[in-house]
Amino acid sequence: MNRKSLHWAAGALLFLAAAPAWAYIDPGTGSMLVQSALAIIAVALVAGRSAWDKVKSFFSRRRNDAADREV
Amino acid sequence: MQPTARSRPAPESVKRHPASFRDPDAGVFVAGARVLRALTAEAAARYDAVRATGFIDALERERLVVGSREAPEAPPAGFARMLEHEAVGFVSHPYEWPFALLKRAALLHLDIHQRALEREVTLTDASAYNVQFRAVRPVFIDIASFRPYREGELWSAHRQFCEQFLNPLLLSARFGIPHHAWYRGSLEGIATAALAALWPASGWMSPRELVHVLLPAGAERAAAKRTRASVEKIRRAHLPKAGYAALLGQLRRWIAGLEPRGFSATQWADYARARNYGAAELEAKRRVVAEFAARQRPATLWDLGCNDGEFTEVALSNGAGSAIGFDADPGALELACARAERARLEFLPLYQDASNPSPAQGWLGRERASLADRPPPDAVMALAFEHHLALGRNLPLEQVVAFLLAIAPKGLVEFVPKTDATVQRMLALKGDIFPGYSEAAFAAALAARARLVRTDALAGGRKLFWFEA
Repeated sequence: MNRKSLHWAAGALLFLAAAPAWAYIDPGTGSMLVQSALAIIAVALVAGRSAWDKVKSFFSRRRNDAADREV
Repeated sequence: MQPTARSRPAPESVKRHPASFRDPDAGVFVAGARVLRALTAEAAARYDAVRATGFIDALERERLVVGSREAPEAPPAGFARMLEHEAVGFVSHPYEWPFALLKRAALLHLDIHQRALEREVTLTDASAYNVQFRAVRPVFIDIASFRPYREGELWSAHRQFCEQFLNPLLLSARFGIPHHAWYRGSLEGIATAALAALWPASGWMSPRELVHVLLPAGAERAAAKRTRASVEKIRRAHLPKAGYAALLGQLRRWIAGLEPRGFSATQWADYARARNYGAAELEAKRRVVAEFAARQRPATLWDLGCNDGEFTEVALSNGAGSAIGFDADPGALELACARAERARLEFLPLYQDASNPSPAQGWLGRERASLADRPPPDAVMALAFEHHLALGRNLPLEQVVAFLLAIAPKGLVEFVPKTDATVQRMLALKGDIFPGYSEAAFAAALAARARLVRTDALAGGRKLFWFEA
């Protein structure tokens, strides 16, 4: 079964599943809170990294132009 | 999945397993020695979706998960499908596993979870009781806990993983405290709150100790006062798959590097050096064990006081099919596990204190089977062992002999006299308060319960007794 049909199947199952999100397991509030905090940090890090990458690529372009002019 | 005949009733009655009651969608049933699993329509749909990814097939091929196929029995009322699983011969509990095996079980769980995520599958729970052992090879048994992964969901079983796998390992690795007694009493694992209370302040400098021990415990305490806000925060949380995978990876690297602290310094790890035998006496004992195994050829053998498994290996190399070893010394058990791995033995070393064996416990006192309720072996071996019970633990010699002989219809038991150097050390402070302890008394107790096939005298007054019921 390829990825696409798996995603359809998973989507259909989400629709069908009436059970609560975590079924019979007791997740533990502390663990869940730590993960939600990590999730926020992770998103911030990713956003931060893409911004930093833009800054880096801006400067490396400038340097290359200068090198070309010197030749 | 191959089609099979349906609605043929099993010869043995099909009964629900007493440990299978938490998941309303899937129930484990037993029919004699066979293991069956009934699934509701929803659970069956999840199972089929997961199977379709090829994930379970890959795990089955590598023997990391028990095989499953359609069962000939019709599902019981309320269920839509019946599967049959490959049965694991001997069920053992996490609190009986030596450190090395609990570590393997933890790594297996994480490996399976990481691979599952790659295929958009996740695991509903992280119970250590979902792993069993074939010799020292861990195998995952809860097929029903696989379900499709929902993007953004948190790892709901993280708490359970930490309490049932990580924390017991940390007790040994960080504090040098074997996990067995605590874990056996606190069936569902070592509470993170308890471990956090013991944890040194240096943990606040370590990201992984913060994430898995200190912060969850702290957050739990803080959340207790503001439950509704916490629940809201959790409901809104969205953990990217990369973050989820990072958590699993971080735990895997941490656990892979954990080693028990202080075990190698136990009395038994130095046993080889401090041993009372010379090389010739050792050879004589090995020869008798080899003959016993070759003559009896037990399919399963229990080795009580197996120590580092030296004689278990002799038995397995000479005709015993498989062996479970029991010992109360964590250091010796680590050595036994290493031996089983190195020599590829059908040997499962387990922690057990014969004077306080695993009881039946859990819900209704039946969820986790006692040692006495496991399938009995074909033969038993108790070498350099009975004196630890009779003299070390002050147990009546009669009862010790009766206990050993009741384990299997055939066996090899070693009697250790008071003149032995180890016994002398044992009695040094206690004094000789055992007038009734003698080889004659031992032999009489044995003869009253079984047929003595032969005896072999060893050096230092030790003697091997070979009995049959």
